[in-house]
Amino acid sequence: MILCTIVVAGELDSRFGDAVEGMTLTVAEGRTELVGTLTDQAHVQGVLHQLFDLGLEVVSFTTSDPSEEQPGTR
Amino acid sequence: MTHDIGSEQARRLRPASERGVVRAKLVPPRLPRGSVRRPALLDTLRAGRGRSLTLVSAPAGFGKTTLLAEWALTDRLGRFAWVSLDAGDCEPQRFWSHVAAALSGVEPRVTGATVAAMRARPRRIGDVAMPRLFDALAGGDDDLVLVLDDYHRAETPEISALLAEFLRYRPERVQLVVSTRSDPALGVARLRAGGDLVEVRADALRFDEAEVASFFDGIGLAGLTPTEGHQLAERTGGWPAPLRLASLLMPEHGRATFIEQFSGASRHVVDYLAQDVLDLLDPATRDFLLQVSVLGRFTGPLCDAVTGTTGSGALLADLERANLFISVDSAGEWYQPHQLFTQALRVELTRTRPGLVPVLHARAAAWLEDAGDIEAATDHAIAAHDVHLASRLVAAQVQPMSATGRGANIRRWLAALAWPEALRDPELAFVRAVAASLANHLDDAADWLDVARTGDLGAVDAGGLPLGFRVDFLDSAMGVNDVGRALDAARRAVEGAPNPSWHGIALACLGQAQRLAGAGDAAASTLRVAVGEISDANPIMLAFAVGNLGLAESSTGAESHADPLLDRLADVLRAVGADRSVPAAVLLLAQGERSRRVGDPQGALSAVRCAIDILEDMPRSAWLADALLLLAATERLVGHAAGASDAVDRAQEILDRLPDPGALVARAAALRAVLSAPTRHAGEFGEELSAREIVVLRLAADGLQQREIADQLYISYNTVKSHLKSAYRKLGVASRDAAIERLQELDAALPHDRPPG
Repeated sequence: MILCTIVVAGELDSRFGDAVEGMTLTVAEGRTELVGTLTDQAHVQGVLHQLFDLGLEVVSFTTSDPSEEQPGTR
Repeated sequence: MTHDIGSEQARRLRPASERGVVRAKLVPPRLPRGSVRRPALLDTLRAGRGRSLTLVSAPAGFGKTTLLAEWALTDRLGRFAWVSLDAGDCEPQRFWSHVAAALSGVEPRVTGATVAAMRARPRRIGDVAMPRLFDALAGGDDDLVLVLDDYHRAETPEISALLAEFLRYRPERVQLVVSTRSDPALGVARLRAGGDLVEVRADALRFDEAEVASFFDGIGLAGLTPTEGHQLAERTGGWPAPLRLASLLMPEHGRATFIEQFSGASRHVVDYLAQDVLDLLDPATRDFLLQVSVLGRFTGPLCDAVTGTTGSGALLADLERANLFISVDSAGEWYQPHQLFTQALRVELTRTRPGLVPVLHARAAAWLEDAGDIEAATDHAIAAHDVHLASRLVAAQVQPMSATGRGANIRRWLAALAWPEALRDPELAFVRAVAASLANHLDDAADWLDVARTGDLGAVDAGGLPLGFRVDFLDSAMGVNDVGRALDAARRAVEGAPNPSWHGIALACLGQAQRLAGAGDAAASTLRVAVGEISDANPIMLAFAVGNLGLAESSTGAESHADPLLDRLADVLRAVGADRSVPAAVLLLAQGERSRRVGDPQGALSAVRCAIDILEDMPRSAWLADALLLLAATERLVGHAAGASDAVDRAQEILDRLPDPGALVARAAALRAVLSAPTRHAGEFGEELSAREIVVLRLAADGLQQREIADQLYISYNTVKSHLKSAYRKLGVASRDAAIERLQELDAALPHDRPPG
């Protein structure tokens, strides 16, 4: 699983959350942050493609492994 | 639902498709009303003449297609070859057939035969079909423009590789224009650095204030003030698609207020506008647009089928006239929705009526299947999550795939059919096994065959073959890594073969399994029958049988029936483009063994190395191990002990990881024993023969003259003579025949690396 945070330019209505399956939307100051846990890289690609198809401008994009949230425990 | 159309009507309605070419994809769309003339950009595009690539790269809604359509219309339409690509064009054959068909419209020398040649295996497209296309294009003087619109939809590494080749070798007169949403993998940076690229990107495509004003003039909303133009350009960033949406919302009176509100809102521009445009539509039209948003390209009757209504054709024509994000081809039959708006519609449809989405896709699949567009039908069946239909449609396309090596679409579909029910479907599992075999993933293939066996084994495919037989056949042909399993499957396939030709093919698989199991004599007699039964119309399986026969006969020392057939079949495989297949490799190995037997070990080495080069594609297979062992035996023969040991080591590494590689294990062990044993070829006076002397004597035993031995070993004639003399002395003999006899006695005392022969 991949914890994924995508910020796009522009304020999106929350209904986009239904379209981009499994992502939660937070809107602030002309930007929208989408956060969700995605299955694998193929899923990540699919979400990015969908945003791209909607003509959205990706401002930032980060992923992390949710199982490694506490650094230094290994 | 009202889409029960008769097959006659369906045939008339299907996209005109000859040789798999959809004509509707080969024409630029009509220009939408109010399109802004952009002479500066057209000049940029024209400057691409003589450069390698003209690239139009920008996200959805930037007017890429419109710009190119304007160019085609402004300059002479006749010299433009146009292809609108879609996802199905990830299949190289389909992609290049369309490219050739488009070019045939502007260059008469590109004929139907050129188009047909593109329907070859991918490797043959680059090697044979494309040079033919270049020849046909090289003749004329006038410039041609080839436009590949929506390239991102079809792009795969395979397509890019071939297109890069097209770029490199195309005749000067052809200007290649690629329009895409994301930069293509065509070495763009290198082309740019070399001044070989002309590009139009998002920033160039943005409308400036003057263009915004000219756009509103064009659609009858004249008299925009400079401030209003500035506000709109600012708010939309000059992005054409949202401007078009805004124009639909613009009221006749109170325009200033609308622009003020729009500019002040912080919502995302497309989100804001698409929602409002949808709210503006009358409920019937809105519903119609939402429902047909599941389609890529459509006609009136297809929309009727999907929406369960009638009269869609008239509605589409109205929408096109009203500029509601639908463009139409110049024949006025196929409509294409605007991509950006379609995405917004799909979002809305998924949000408001999620349950309807699969139903709409299922209706589309049924209509498209009736109309004969199986590929598009498959896409919709998958989107509808209809495993039963998808399985039937995909299975119907497997036969052509295995015959031609086409597979990009099948792989795409199989990857999409990934939910549990689809993964359990037996017919799909069989297709997955075929695809895995073609991709040389033999272990995956075996796993999928196990799933396929859970199905109704009596279920027949379009060719009348029961599932059980198909599974057993594939299992025995490809299942070389588990020889026991392959033997069982082959026996069942022989039992269940529905006709003599298939019986022969099943026998060929049985013979291969027997050979690998170490039963050389049984294998040879099975394979002789197989060669007699397989029809000439199936050269690939015939080559497979003959190659295995040659190897079986070599291993037993039997008189060879295969030898006279080997070269002719190798030619046939080359002719059908199967010269990199497993049967081709097996044939090469048999040719190598023949060379070895007639005293040409160098010829044998080069044949076996060619076979290994092919089989390296399946690094974990008994085939490769078999070839490496043959290589080792031949290397030893010419005195390359180190090369022989390396080959045995590599074979052993493979064999260690295979479930049941049959007699190969014993062959590897015997070879290793011989190679690691000290050369116990002590002569009468206790002096050992050198490795080189043994090699020379062995070749002499094979009947080679001294001159020939010298050629084979790349040494001089005098060296051969001195090796022989020294060997005679050590063996205490005076003649060549006596020396050979003595060597054979000594050999007999050593463990054997392979059955005599």
